[in-house]
Amino acid sequence: MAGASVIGPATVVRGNLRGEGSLEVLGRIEGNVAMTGEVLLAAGSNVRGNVSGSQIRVAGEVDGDLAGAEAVLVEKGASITGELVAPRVGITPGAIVRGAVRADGETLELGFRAMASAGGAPAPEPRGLPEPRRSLDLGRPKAPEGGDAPRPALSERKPPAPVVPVPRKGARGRKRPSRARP
Amino acid sequence: MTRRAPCTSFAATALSMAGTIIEAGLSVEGEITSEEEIVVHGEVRGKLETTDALSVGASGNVEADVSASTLAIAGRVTGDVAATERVDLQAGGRLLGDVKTARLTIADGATFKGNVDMDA
Repeated sequence: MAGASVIGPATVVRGNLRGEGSLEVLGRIEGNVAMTGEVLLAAGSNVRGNVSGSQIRVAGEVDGDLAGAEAVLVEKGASITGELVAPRVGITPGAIVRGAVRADGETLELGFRAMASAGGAPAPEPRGLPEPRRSLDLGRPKAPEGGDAPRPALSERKPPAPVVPVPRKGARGRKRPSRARP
Repeated sequence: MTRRAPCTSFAATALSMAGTIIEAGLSVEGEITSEEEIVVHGEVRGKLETTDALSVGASGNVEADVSASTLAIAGRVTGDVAATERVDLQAGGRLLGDVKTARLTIADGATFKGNVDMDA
């Protein structure tokens, strides 16, 4: 059984790593990594290339795709630009992932909040106009910055349809007596 | 939203004390540049540079130009070798290539073919 290889924090590898056993990366790799065992990309590590292994745990920076035969686990502090593919994919809050995630297995655990936080809160409306109720406006496209938006001036905007009910004659006739009840 | 316990963090960081280790079974094709100790039990092809010590274990196979401060060879090295301090070719070690270093030892049972430059 092959032991655990280590790429130390003060080491840079430009090229491909391939082999059996597990690998722990604390330094920098510019190239692809293909292992049969576990791959740990520790905090402070930086990998530019694709990584495959049985289980991949990431707390560092990756610019490339991650393919785990068993799992890909993204830990707090990790920053990944690339695809995650594994039967099990775990993303911990505090991780940043930009790319597609494919979890083909039975358990799918996603920290959506981790991704939502990367987008930031929607820009606040620049004017003090009373906004129509839209507390849940996350899905709405962001208001352009600066305030000089292609937003129509107030005068041009059509007022919302009147909320005043225009009951039909028959209805009014029927309701009157009940309202007038003392 | 359901929350689960966070992933366990790295437990294997004790290994990080030893710098870089290329274990048997791992092969690196390319360039390794380092400022810490490197131990090679696996395979390296390309270029291998460190400002610290480098040792090639009995199962190690290096086909690369090598530079280090001190170099201990118990495995196979094919390529030119430069060490600022010393080169120790140990028993069972096999070196094919030129050596440039201040001090060189070659143990009984080692194989060596190449030129030696011990200037400076």
